[in-house]
Amino acid sequence: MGVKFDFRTKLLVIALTMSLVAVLTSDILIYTLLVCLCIYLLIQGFYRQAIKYFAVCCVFILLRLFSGGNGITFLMPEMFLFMVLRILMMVMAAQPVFGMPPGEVVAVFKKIHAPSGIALPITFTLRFFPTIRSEFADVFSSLRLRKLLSWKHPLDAMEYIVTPVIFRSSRIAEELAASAESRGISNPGEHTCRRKLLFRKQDWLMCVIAVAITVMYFVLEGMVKV
Amino acid sequence: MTNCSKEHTAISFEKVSFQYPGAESPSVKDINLEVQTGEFIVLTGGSGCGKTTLTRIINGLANNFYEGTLTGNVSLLGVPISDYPVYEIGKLVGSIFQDPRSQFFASITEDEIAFGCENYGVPFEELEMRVTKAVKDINGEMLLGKEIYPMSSGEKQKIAIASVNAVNPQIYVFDEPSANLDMFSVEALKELMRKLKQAGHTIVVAEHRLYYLTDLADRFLYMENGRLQKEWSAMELLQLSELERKSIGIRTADLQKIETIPPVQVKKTETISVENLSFAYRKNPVFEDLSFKAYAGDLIAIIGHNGVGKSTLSNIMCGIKKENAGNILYCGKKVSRKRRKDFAYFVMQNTESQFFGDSVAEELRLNRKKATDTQIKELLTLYGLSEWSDFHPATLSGGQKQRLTLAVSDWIDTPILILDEPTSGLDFQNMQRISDHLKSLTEKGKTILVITHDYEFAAMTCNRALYFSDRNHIDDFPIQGNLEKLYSCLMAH
Repeated sequence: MGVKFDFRTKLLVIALTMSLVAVLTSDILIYTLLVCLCIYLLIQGFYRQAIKYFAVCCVFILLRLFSGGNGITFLMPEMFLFMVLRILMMVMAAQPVFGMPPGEVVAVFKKIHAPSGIALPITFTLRFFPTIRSEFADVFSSLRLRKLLSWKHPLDAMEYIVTPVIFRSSRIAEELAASAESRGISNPGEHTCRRKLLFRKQDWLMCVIAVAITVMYFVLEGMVKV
Repeated sequence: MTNCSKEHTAISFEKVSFQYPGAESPSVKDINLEVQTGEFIVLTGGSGCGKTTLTRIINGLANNFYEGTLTGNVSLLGVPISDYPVYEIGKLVGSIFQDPRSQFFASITEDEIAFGCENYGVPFEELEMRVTKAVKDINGEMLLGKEIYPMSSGEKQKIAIASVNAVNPQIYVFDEPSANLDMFSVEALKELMRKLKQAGHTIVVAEHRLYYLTDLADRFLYMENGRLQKEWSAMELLQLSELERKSIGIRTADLQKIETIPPVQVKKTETISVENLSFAYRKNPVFEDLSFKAYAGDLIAIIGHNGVGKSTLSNIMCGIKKENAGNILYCGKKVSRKRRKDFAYFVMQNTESQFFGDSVAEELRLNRKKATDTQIKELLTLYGLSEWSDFHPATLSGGQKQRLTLAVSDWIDTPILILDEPTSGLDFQNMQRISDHLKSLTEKGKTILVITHDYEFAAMTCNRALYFSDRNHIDDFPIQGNLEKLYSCLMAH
């Protein structure tokens, strides 16, 4: 099933990845970071997800190589390809926290004394994305039935997809928040967790490796710039 | 409404009104109500009558989460609700919401059930005990360790109840708990409610469907325009004449009083012929070798338990999914998957995912760019939506959204129309409206298939039933004269 890391380790990896994708400019460093993230997912047992993310990232890398840095038509300018690749890498780093038990997330935030202004939105977000996933399938089916999905009018199609998803998302977000509120999520007192919060050897090891890799990338980035 | 000593009063309302921020008028007005400890009350009334708001006042969300203006005095267990911090109310009042999909936080059953206890700092050793007891109380041992997302609505509802049960509040508030459930799951819900009542809990249920509550509830309170208007005991409710019930606009309390429609004149023109259809997800067969025919004017209830393939069949019939084997003939011709949407239109259960326009009028214009304002107005008037022409579809009520999806289907105008649970969460008047409208469409020669768990709606609307009894068999029977069979098919699991 793969190695289990503590939520704090996963948070550190997300924070380090975010700082790296924001700073790194060298393509080769970005591509090798992609490989590191795939290994990070694989050792935790996210085999299918690692392959999917890797494949999608490869498509975007190939598109960038193919376009020679000029982008592909007005629909996919270079900046779009550049951004998508980096966003995908952040999502890869965040993958292990999607679907985590909410009690563990809340208890860790309490333990590290994270301000509730940060902790509560993150807890909601973790639950929110899996919940709206199925909404997209319904939207696509409905668009096809109404014959509104057309490659000839991609911007219209994009608007049609986004509009219902945004409305549905806001409703789901409200219902989820109401449900959490009625179950004491904002209790300022102690929160417990049915899964024991243990920061084990593998967590220390992962944190050291993640920090070391990050430092190495910063150094290499500096050398590339020079 | 009931006089009793203070220490036995679980919920007390004195001249309570509540207005949501931005609303033009209060949603509930001048409510006086006392609910005794251990009492079971049902709030009913048409959509927008204020019953959900009343439940939100009890669980503290109205004031603290929706941030509206509350006037009057509300007390829980003898203490003014304003004296409780919002997070403390959850220990006294457990809430079970209408849509099971959007009330879960965890992926796995035990984590979800433990969530409330974890938030209240229940010690580690006690947590496991509470989870085990809550699971036992719902007879949910089979659900342990399972992912919640793929579960049926009934199973999700059970887990929602268990997760509240683990915190052990005195008061339980249910907001339309049966809206997304099949009849078998409604029976299971009823048994869980019975256990809660027997354990001495106070229960408040806001609900349209009343038939399953008559031998549980102590009082039925009818609301209209934000006010409590009538109060019945279960016996009084059951004794209402059909005429009186329909004029008040509530759903039946006694399924035996439902009458079928007189036999309709179905034309002999064959519109659908499904021949030996099979479908499997990867290697798991959903259905095999299914065959049936339908004719112009048929209004068919598609029934069967969750997961038997009703929605999958509908998706195949309109070309969203592809069958593994078999044929679909429309009007006598074999139709390829791509062209099926020219013949059959599918109105999905989730209406909000089917609107793409900025306004109700624009929604219709999307499928007929050249339509004149007059044509749009005529259609909206037909569906009782002309007043909302400039409103965004997302701001409409459940019944209005359902009518708008039907108005859209009118313009797409396929000979076959398939609907998935069109009456889920609808009050009697909206259900009646949908029923009448579908009948009028069949009179014009359309063939309509309705996936439904709603006995009342199926009995008063459809002429035939297709019951998915198992993977490779459909039982096809007329509803007229077969109400007992319809009931037993809907109750089967």
